[in-house]
Amino acid sequence: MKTRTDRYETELRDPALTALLRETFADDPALAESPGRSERIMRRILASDKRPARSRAFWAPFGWAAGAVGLAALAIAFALGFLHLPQGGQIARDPKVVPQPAPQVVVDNTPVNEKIEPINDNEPVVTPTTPDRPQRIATEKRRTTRLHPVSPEKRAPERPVVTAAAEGSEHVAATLYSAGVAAQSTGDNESALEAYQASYDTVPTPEALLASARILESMGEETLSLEGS
Amino acid sequence: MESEEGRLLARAQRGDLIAFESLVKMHQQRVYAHCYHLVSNSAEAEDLTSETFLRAYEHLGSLRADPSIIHWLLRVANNLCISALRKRGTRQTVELDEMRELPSSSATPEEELVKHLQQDVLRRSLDKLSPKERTAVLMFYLEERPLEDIARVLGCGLAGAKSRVHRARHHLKTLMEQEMGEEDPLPVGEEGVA
Repeated sequence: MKTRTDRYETELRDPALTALLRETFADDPALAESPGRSERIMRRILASDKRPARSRAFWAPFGWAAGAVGLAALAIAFALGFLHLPQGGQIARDPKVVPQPAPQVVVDNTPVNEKIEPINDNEPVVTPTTPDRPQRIATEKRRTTRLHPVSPEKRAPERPVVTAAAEGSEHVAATLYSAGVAAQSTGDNESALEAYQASYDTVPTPEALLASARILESMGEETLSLEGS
Repeated sequence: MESEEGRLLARAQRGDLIAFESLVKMHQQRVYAHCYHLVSNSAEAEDLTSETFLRAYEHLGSLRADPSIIHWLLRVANNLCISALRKRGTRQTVELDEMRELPSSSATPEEELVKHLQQDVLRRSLDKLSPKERTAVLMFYLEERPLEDIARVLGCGLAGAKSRVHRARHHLKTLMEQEMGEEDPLPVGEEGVA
């Protein structure tokens, strides 16, 4: 059975042309076998400095593939380095490496009256944060000391530390009141005033209030007399 | 089963020069004839044949005897001939003086003269074909090679080879008619080319 190629060849064959070509070239002396041609070819090959290239080893394609992959990795690494792009491994290990976005200045063109939020009574009132209590006490103490400096020798004895569990608040108030009396007797009106006020704060008694008022009155009189002189 | 050519090629690839020389002896005549048909000059054909085998020696490592290295050799030779013809510019035509003596035969002198003139017309027409057309005509009609071989040498597909052969034959016929018209019109129609 003839294939399609065979049919093509049969169609193309031209016996007349083949015969004419054979007659034309058949007895051409130039086409005769030359006995020394092979030797001449070999001499030319040996005289040339060309040598056969080494045949490719079976692992050559793998080597090329590995090289190509390596080069691609290097190119990517260089590109990341030059562009300062984050690298996957560093993002996971060190968050500092992640570049911070540049601060953006947003111009708010909203009119001022629109920025004011309407007052809603139902919303919880946010109270301003107060400073810590110890800090506030220290600040107050420094201010008092600056306004009313007292010499160490005139300073009232240290206020006894009493605990409510050990003695009753009335006893504490009485003790403070006694300290105030003692300070007033030495002329230290300020310490006496503090003692009286502390006694009144502990247990509000009329005696402590009255004593405080008397001391304040006497301190006012002293001040006026000093300004008058 | 490995062919004799395959064994020689394997030995040559291992550096055996004797084996390579055997391959040269095996194929040099066909390569030379191919070159001679294309360039129509024996000295140039010899030089192109040597160059073809030199290229083969250089690329010995990549040569495969599958089915034969002759196709690779003819392809290289063909390309070298085309380059040589391009460098030359115009193809060298064979002068009537250089043509061989007519063989003695039983034909009458008039018949011999007609045949001689026909062969001269054919050579000149072949010279006017493009190198690829010439290759197609000579391989298909003179050497009677199959289309597959022509496709391998020309580096095209089977359909391309068939098309080239068909066009080349048509072109050759036209050229021969033109040549005969320029010559003294002889009664070539009786045994002329189809």
